[in-house]
Amino acid sequence: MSDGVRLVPPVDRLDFEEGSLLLYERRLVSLSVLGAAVADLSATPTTVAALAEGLREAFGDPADGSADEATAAVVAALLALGVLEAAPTPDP
Amino acid sequence: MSVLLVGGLACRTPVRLTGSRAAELDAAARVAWARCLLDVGDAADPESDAVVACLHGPGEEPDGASATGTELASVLQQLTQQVTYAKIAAQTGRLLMLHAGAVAGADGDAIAFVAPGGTGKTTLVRRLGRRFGYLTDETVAVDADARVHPYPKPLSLRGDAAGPKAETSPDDLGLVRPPAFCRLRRLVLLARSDDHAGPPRQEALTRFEAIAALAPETSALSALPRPLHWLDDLLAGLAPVVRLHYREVDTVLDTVAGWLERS
Repeated sequence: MSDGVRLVPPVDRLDFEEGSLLLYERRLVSLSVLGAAVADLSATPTTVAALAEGLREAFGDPADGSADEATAAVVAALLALGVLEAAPTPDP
Repeated sequence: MSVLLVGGLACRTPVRLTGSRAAELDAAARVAWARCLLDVGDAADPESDAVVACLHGPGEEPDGASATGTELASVLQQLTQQVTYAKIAAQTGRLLMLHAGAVAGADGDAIAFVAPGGTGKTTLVRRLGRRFGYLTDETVAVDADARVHPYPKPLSLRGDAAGPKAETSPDDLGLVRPPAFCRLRRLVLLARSDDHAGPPRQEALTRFEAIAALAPETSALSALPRPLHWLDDLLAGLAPVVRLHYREVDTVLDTVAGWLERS
């Protein structure tokens, strides 16, 4: 098993052109389009590497730095917000 | 002991008044809550949990009351809070409840002013309520059809800065009674600031921005069915949400009156 993450299911979610709103029991989280894409890709347990690949396919390479580093930063932010939680993933 | 049945927010709240000074508390509560008092059996609305308030003398043990003390003003202030909590609990999962004040025009079209506590709702609604129907200064309850369920509670007015607020009847303030049926037409986010310079400014919000700003100013939002969609559907039928930046309440009265008279 590897370290991974998965989406903490919200009570409700609304998607807009500017991003998405995720409602949890006692808080609302506003996500950018990029954050919302990570949430979409994390419906089942996944890894940062798999997320980076998914984001690269959807948005291309980041203007600065590597896709892995950028994805790791987004994942860290979403973990801090409680949108993602740690979840073991099967080894490839 | 005496019992009052307090309406508002589409539910009835039994209030039991106890303590050696219960008669004094009863008289004051009947004045402050005059607009919400119901005759038993008068309403078909559901009933919330009861609230117990105790006004007692020094050294006397309060009997499990959630609002208690030896000072009348303090007990009345606690009573307002406890009644509001009881009503919110009773309507959880049934109504959208916003931290907002609201007034309505003669045709029943209502505007709700959303803001955290202590940031100008009561002051604005008190001023507008002399001309438009007073619905509430604290919690606006809206159903899925945008009907506003009035909660004409006493207004909590700051007198002596060090003392409790004075729970003041809307009747004593000369506030207008609203039409029997009111429908929400507009939501306004209040952004009153001592640092605001110049005339009031209206900041247009996208639906995304509006919901992001409104959701934290609700009670028990997550208990509604598909809560964000509920809010989104409500906003779809209203005027676009604006955030109103201002410093002095006098500077926004004409703007708000214009909204109510045009609606």
